[in-house]
Amino acid sequence: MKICWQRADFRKTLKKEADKLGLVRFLQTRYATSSLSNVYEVMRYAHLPFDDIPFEKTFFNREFYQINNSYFLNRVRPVEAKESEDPSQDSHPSPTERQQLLNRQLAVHSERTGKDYLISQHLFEELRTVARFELSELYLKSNRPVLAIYNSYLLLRDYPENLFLEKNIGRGLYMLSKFKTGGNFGQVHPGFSHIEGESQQLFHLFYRLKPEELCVLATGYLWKLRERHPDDIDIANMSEDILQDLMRRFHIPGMFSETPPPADWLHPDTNDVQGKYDRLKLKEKENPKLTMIKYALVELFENPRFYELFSKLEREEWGGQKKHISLAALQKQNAEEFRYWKNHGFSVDAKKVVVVSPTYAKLDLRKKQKHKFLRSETAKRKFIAQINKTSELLKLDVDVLDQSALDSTQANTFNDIVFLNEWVDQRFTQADVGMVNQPMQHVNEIIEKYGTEYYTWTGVINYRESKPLMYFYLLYALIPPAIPFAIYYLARPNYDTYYYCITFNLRTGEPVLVNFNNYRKRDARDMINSSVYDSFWQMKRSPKAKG
Amino acid sequence: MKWITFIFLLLSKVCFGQASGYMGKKLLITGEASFFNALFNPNHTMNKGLNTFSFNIRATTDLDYVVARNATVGATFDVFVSGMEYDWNSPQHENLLISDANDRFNHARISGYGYGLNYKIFRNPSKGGIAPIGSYAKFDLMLLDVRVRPIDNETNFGHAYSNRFFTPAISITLGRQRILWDILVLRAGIQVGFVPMGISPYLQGLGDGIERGTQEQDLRAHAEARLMTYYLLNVNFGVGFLLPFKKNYKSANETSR
Repeated sequence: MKICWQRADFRKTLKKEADKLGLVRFLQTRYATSSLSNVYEVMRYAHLPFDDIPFEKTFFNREFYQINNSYFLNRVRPVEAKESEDPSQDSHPSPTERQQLLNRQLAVHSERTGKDYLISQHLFEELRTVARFELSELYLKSNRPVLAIYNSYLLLRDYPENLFLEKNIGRGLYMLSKFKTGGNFGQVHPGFSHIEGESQQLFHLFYRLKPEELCVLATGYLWKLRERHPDDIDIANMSEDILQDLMRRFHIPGMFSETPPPADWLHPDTNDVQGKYDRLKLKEKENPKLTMIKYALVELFENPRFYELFSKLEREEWGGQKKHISLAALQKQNAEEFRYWKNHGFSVDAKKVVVVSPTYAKLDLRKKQKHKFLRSETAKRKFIAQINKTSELLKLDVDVLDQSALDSTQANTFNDIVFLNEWVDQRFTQADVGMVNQPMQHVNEIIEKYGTEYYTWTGVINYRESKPLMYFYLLYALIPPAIPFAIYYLARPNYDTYYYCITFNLRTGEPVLVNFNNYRKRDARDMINSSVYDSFWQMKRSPKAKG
Repeated sequence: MKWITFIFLLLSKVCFGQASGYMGKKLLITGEASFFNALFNPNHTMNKGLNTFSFNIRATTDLDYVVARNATVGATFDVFVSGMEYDWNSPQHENLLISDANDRFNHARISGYGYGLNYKIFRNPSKGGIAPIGSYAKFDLMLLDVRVRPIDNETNFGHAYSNRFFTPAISITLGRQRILWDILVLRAGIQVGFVPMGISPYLQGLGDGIERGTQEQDLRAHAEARLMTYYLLNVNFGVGFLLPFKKNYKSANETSR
């Protein structure tokens, strides 16, 4: 612990030194020093969205869809600057400390009459806007859909009806609904009580909405968005998928009205009603179920595609056509499939495969420096060579996209690698809750560019760790004839090797091959070669009827 | 007939399974030496006991073909040799004895060949490796072609008489197989075997002398009992090659579909 604090102190000293040198360099430019202190204000509030404007409670409302007022907070938690309670335990100096240091340094320099913008104020603001737009996307990628929605909401005030922003809100709602329905809402929603600022209103709203209410909200938003942007593939896919969710999980006949509500549906006038029960009946109209479910989709029934899909799904679920498979039959089928996979593997029937960012990590968990970088690099080269050799043997067209082998002329390839890695990262989370594959336009471009739908992520992780010696002493003490075995295990180094190979169909977003091998031994060449060959052989192999 | 149909069905299912082999190569030939200390019965040099450092040895050739991600089928060819103590002169059965095998011939040398089929099942591919590498359990079904000849232990002189017979044997081997430089096969294992016909002589008491009408029958019972102990426990090490050394990978992979 003492060492940790010493290290933290050392880091703080370095950081202060860097600030000092930074200022020296800054003072050599023609920039004005007047706005310098704002830098630390930005740091203090960096945990918040770029602005703190109240969320309009009627933002999601439509003619026949009204979110009940009880879903909103009366007041939100005030914003507090991010300062540590005990700065001595921080690894970095606090913004206040750094600001004081800056002020002291500035005091010895005379006030300068520099400029706030040397290149262009317009360009600065344009770049800032681009960065703010990007934030919406980044929030979604990091599984923070509520912040993505709030950020897009803030930007929509200046850029109304912007497709990117509206689509981001749709994607955020879709993600929230899928995770709430899927039962792992905590992955995308951290709760609302600790959230500061106006965004808390949204966190509270999505926390309070029941799964079916959130699903209806997302369905309504996405289908309305689709009406305005009928050619957008992602919006079309999301809207159809969320409607299927709604119909299969929550819908019961009569749940949604296809005709508009009566004129006084929202605020029934109960003043002139004398009887207690008549008054109660009218007050029932204030039930959120009416405003947020019953009439929520009224205007969408005028959309022929919506009506057609709604009717079809209703017939499938409630028209007596649904086939029910018993749990025992399902278990038997799964067991048979597992057995078949264990003996025969997968059959992808790919003509070409792209391997993205192959990885090889050699670790020694007993050492202070756990990652053996040079050995990992050497092993990775051999691993890629093995992939290439395998592709030749199998006459399978394989492209390897390895970021470490790129040069400055291959920026596009680098961008493709970044996109593919982000895509697969999201799919691992999203496939669990059955989210649709997106963004389809970019996905189709990548498929077109590389000429295949099959993209593979593969690698090896090999590590050596200390042995649990206690077991051997026990073995020795309890069973004397086991001594030779104990000696063998004591002498043998304790290695573990994991080989993984996952192939996705980029168009469908589904994994088509998953090989995961765990060898409790060294990463011997024959093991790795055999595993690589076997995986690519399964990729090439045509499906065969199970017999 | 039922059994033959069952075996054919099993073989057809296995042989038309899909397997990648090792880098596309599915055929391997291995030479194997099996041995264990001759503790209670003499080996081919008629020595026995822990102190004499005498071993029973056996040479095996295996030809294996990968038929699934976790299985191979193959043929086994064994060459075995061992010895046994045998009293060729039992006065109370004088009329049954083989002529000329007098007091000096108190041992017998057992040798012969074993012809068999084997099925090797490898550990779960996601844990142990994909056939033909990794940990395996091998099941052998063999027919032993046995020759027994009287031996004068002092002069190591073999009698002109020889008896030949066939007897079945089964064995299970637990082992591990590796491949080096994409071609060389290394294998090590522990084998437990049974010669089923060699069990009953033990139950009936071998020391009681000739009980089966002729000395040939008695000799066979003794030899089978000796083979039972010979096959009972062995340690084996093998070296082999993947075949063919250079191959047309396309044809190998096309045929696997």
